[in-house]
Amino acid sequence: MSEDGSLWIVLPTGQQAAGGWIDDTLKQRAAEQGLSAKVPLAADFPRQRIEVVRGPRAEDRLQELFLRRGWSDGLPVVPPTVARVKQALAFTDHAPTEVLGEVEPLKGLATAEKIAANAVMAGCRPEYLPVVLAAVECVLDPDFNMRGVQTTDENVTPMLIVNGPVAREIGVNASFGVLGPGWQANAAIGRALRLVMHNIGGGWPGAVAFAGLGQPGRYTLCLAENEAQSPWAPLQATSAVTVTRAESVINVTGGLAEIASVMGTAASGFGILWSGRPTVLIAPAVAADCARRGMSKDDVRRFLWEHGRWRREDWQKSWLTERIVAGRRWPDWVEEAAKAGDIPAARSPDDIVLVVAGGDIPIPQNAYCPSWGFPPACITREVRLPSEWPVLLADVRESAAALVDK
Amino acid sequence: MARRNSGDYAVVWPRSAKAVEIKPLAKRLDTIEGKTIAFLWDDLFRGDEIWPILKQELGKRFTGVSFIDHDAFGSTHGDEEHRVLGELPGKIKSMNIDAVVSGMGC
Amino acid sequence: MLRVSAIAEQAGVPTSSLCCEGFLGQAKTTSVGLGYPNLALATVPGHVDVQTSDELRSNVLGTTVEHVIRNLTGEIASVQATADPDPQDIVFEGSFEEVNRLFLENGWSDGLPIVPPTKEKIAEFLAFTDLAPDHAIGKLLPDNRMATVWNVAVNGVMAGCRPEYMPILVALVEAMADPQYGVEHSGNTPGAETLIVLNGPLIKQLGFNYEQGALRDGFQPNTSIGRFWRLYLRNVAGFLLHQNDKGTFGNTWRVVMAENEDSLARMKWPTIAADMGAADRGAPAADSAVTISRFTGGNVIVSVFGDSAEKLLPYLGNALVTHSAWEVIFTVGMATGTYRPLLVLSPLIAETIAKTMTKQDVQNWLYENARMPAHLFEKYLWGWTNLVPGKRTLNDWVRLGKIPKVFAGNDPNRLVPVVTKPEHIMIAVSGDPLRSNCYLFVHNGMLGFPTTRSVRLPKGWRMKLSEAQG
Repeated sequence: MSEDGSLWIVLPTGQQAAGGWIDDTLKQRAAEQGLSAKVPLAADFPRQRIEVVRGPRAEDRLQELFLRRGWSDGLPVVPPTVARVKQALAFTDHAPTEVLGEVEPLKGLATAEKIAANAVMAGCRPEYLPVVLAAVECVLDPDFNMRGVQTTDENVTPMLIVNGPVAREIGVNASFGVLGPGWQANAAIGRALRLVMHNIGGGWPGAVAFAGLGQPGRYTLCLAENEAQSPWAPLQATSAVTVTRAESVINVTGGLAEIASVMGTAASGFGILWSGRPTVLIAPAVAADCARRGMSKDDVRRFLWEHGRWRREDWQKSWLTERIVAGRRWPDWVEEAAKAGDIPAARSPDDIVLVVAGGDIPIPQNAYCPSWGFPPACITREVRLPSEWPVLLADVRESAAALVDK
Repeated sequence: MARRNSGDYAVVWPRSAKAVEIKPLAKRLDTIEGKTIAFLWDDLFRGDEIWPILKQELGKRFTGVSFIDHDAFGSTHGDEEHRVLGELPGKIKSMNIDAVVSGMGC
Repeated sequence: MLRVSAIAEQAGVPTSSLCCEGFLGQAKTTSVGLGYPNLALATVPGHVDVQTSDELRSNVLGTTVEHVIRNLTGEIASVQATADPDPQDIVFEGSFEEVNRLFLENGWSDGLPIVPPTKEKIAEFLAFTDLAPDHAIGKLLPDNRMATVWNVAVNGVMAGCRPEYMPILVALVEAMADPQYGVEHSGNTPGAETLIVLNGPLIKQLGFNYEQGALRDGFQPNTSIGRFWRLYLRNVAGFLLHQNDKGTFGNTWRVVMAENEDSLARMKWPTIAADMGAADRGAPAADSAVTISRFTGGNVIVSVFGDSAEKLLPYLGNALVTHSAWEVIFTVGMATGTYRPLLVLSPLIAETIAKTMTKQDVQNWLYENARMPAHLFEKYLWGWTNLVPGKRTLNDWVRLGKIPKVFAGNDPNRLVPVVTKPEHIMIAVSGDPLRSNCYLFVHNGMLGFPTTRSVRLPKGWRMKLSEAQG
């Protein structure tokens, strides 16, 4: 902020390799869908890297500008000032102009600086940036199928699972309320990825993105694995981010049998159609119980695969079979399974992504997250920390604490 | 924009609009079989090694492809550049060229 | 390379452009400038220069072939145009510091403070040309933005020029837009920098330095016009470091070099502008003219000693040979006959030589005597570099009729010139009139060719000038 209260902000919106800004397309799409009144200032911004929002009340003006330009998920944003973005970029060895990839469907360039601007807007502390960058790298992998995720009528959203020391160092919650509010890192990192998809990729709901319902997980869906209370090896042994695609998060109270019973339903239908990779969040108590009974992670996956089956009669009469698959075929493995009996929720036990998460309570809360779409995706990227990580981390903590020291 | 102090400067943009008419690309080929493909080269970055590999492989995968080597045009970079580029549209017609491979950007 | 593809697409045939991995970003930007933002690119993984033949082969077979097939037969997504601000719109209002910060942050400045381009300042500059503000000078690659009188004035203001420099600025941009100069090559990796040579009465009217320290900053017209050139390349042509400007090292803009025309007159030697044929292009010799050429480097030739041409020239000839290393691929090979080194003589040395020789005599003498062994010449062409393929000997080039017979012969130790014609050795006179030092500029990389434009003055020039200088 300058002396007169003006805000110098890094524009968070996507610019394509050819120089165009995605907002021009978005404005057109929004108009076609009758959404112009919601975003009356779409595409109305200076076509440059930095904009100055003048005071007084520059903060308030910025919120209104961003909402009207369509650069928001609906919640207030933290102004992506040059200073804040620079602070975040100190936490990566990427140059600000370095391009990590094009974000589909409108192909805005995900530069380190644009990602940092969106992370700041989402409420990330600077030290979250390495995790955000790893998450963005995951969704830029062609196997993530960003174009599909952004534009489908399904409600899918990326689910971020953080492993390793970095989760503890920056405070990503792995325990009680892991999918709920209360932890800045979970809230802001998941939101940062959503804003990258929204602002750089152009996934505006109702204009470009046509999910029937969407889901609360589209605001944020980010957790750490509860490695401390897991009897098994973690999903990743080092600091890493793994992204799967989650259609929804279905709560399951109980043990493996209950999880399997939820998996063996129409909830898995679309995932089965595309041979997707569902995620199972397993409560520490259930994991401990399995381990006591000598079950390995593989055993658990096999159990869920064998018992979590969609009844053949239901499958045959299902809406998907009659309306969608009619004239085509289910994947070969589904047809094969149907010959022998009921349909597993995934092509093979290995396709089930198993994560120990949540608080350790006697009435265990698990979750089943059915997958969506093609190709099968469970994508991991190492979190690359800057060379001065411990020093940088100590510095930002100290300066944050200094703000409230008496 | 809100008004500023009298000592302020109201400034313009130092650039000008990109004078780009966006032109559609040529229609792509239905198949490579039986087509004539020409190679134009700027005499740089080992294009003379890459082109024979491409020729061999395309010839193996598609029947009846003919190739026109870069010698038929001259270098596309340097003192011959303006001549070679100027002659290209005419040569595309007279030599019945269906597609062009151009190298090397390195 | 991409220009070829653009021309072929326009002629109606599909293309595939072969690019090393590291070039893909630049290729995308360049293709926008060509009007075909979605030109189809085929990747050659890595960079070919460091790959063994086997590695190259497996990279081409593993990746490039598939890309070529897809480029020629697959559907290519369509693209849309960009929306840019109107150049005459006010984009910002703020203090001096704020304007400077905004211009830096948005990549519109070079790191030094700029003079804020307000409409008032711009109008002062526009008063010094009879051309309309929206007069289009030409399109500049790679950004393909239109060079206009308006944005010449804007960047002139920013660079710290005075309004009366405007006629020179317009002439410079006319030269920049001349296809013969080849501005599109300004971002290549050797990173050459333009030298502007000024001739004519404007040298004295506008107070250019042409004596001691002629190549150093310190005089407003020399310095600010040099800076203008680089700002214009940035803002209108679109050469930004880490983007379209790929100079490996590069160097800062050069100040304008004005010739010492008093000395030239005493010797009856022609100016650089006259050598370049400025008068032949319809400009009266009395007009001022700018000549632009790009140089990668140079060196001072210190303490040239002797009381006659015969004693002075061997040292200058030796400098010419020792500083022409792989530069000679522009004599023979990559752009045959385009190597044009520039020798700057101090008036003291020039006038000593001129006692017995014309400028042309000097050029002839250097052509005859400044020579290098043929085997070394060929090493630069294809022994130590990979820039002239085919390992053609100088003899082969002579047989093909591309270079003069003077390069022919079978003895690898025979001596050959470093340029193909005597007049390609450009000679200028500037610098401290009383010192015996000279300077040699050489160039490398695919560059624009020296280009000259005469400076057109507005009606009422003298009156406007005296008002401005009053």
